[in-house]
Amino acid sequence: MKEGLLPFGPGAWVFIALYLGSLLLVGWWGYRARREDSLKDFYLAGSGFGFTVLVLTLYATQYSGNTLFGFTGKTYRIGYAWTMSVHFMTAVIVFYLLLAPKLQARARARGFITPADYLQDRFAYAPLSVLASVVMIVALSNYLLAQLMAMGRAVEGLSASTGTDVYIWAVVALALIMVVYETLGGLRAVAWTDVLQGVVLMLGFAILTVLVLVYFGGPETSALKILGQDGGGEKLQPPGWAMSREWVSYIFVVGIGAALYPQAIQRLYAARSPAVLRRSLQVMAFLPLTATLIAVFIGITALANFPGLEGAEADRVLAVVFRDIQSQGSVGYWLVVVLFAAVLAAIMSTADSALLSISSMFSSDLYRRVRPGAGESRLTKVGKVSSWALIVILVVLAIVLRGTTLLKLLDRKFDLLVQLSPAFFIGLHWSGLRSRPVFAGLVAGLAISLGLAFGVSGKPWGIHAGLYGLPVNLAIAVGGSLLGTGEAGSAETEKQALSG
Amino acid sequence: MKGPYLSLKVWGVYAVLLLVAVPWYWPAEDETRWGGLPAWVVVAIAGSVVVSAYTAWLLRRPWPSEEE
Repeated sequence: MKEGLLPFGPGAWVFIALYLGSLLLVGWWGYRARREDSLKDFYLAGSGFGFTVLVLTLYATQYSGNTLFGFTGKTYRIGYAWTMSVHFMTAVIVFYLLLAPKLQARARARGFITPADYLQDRFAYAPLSVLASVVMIVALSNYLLAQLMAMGRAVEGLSASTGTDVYIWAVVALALIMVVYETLGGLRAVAWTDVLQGVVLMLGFAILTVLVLVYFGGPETSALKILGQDGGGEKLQPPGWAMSREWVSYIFVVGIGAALYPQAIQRLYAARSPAVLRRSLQVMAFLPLTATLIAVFIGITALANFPGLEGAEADRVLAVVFRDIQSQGSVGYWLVVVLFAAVLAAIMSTADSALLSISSMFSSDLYRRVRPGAGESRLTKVGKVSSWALIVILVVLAIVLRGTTLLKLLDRKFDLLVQLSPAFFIGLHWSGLRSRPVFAGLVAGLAISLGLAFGVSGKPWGIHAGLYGLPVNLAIAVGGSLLGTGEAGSAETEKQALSG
Repeated sequence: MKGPYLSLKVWGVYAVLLLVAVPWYWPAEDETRWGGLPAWVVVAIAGSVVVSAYTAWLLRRPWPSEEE
């Protein structure tokens, strides 16, 4: 570590190093706590988690580098209209109502490890299971890449130097720590570090709110400053028709897409009991108010006090706020050290969950198909090796693609994930839904969404490309199931499974 | 088709809350602020709080799988 790289003194570096070291220690505990060399033990922590661990791991996984940097940056750019982020994060829990009760019961009964295990069990159609796994791996790799880039920007934003080396150093070092504890302890390590990271993150949001109020003043002070800026009034205006369409689009695309995050689905599987999961979701319903709403508040304060930043610079605006607080005395300095740890917690706890989930899908869904005779121990080892290979590729990409803004990356993955919703949301409740129409619908939905997103625009007429693909996808899946006569017997078997 | 939350009443309530919480109806020229926040932001956040409370309320009842 180069001296003077960041404006932190030796004491602050010792604190950060201890924090990062504690993550490795928790990873080691996770490794020691393993009971058997199996996929269930490594990817679902054996018998699962109780209420506290489940809430904190869901929280730390859901609120990420995007929440802190992307959301403050987006608020900085568009103003209070980004209040929609509170709505779409709440919508995720609303959509869980259609997913969680039945999926968890089925997962417990059948011993699922990955989301594609449900699809294979429900539809018994290999092309659908494989395509769904590939979609989830691509979407999640995109997400993981965004988190790695956020790590680099977090450190770079606090750096005194603007050289490339700070960004690269941060991405490589933090990715290395993460992949070490992840491959040591699997979901135990990831969820236990999430507990630590979730607590640090909650503490960080609370400290940040108080600090911003003390140093920069409340919403009225910010509003007056913004109104004094050129075009500032627009940032306080209600959304109007066009932006309201975008709100509704975000509510559906993120609400449905994030409910289908493979790492979130695996946490539903890893709940110790249905009651634990239900109570955790009750708490989760309120957590957007403690995370995204604060990110909006910080973004508005940054807009009022540090106008003029654009593009990737705006994504780093939180770091500009930090630096300003840091320069206002030793209390501010030390609180920023804690906040910096919270930023790392937010990013790493989301990235490690995505990484673990990808590795489970690669090993259990894809490798097992190629090598059906592979034992549990072999599959777990393949999963670990795939984590290392993927992290190397993504670290290189994070360094090459550093100019892209975080939100662009965030949007594409939901366009893909929402296309899986007929198979999950309808397939869980309607025994008549058949495999081939679902597969055809998925292919059509993906083609339309990606064609629009890359050929026309990510949000034609303010609506996400994925939501243009979804109605076609639904019509083919449901219409084809109603009209089709093939797959005799599967509907009857499914009816029995659903009623059980 | 059955499930603990598959009722028109439940999703009808969510539809109404969506219509209130997304401030499409708010006049663009209105500059009213409550506690420093634009009034439409306060209404949108309140709408979101009601969605959270309604969801938590729906989740108070045990799921069928808890009775097994």
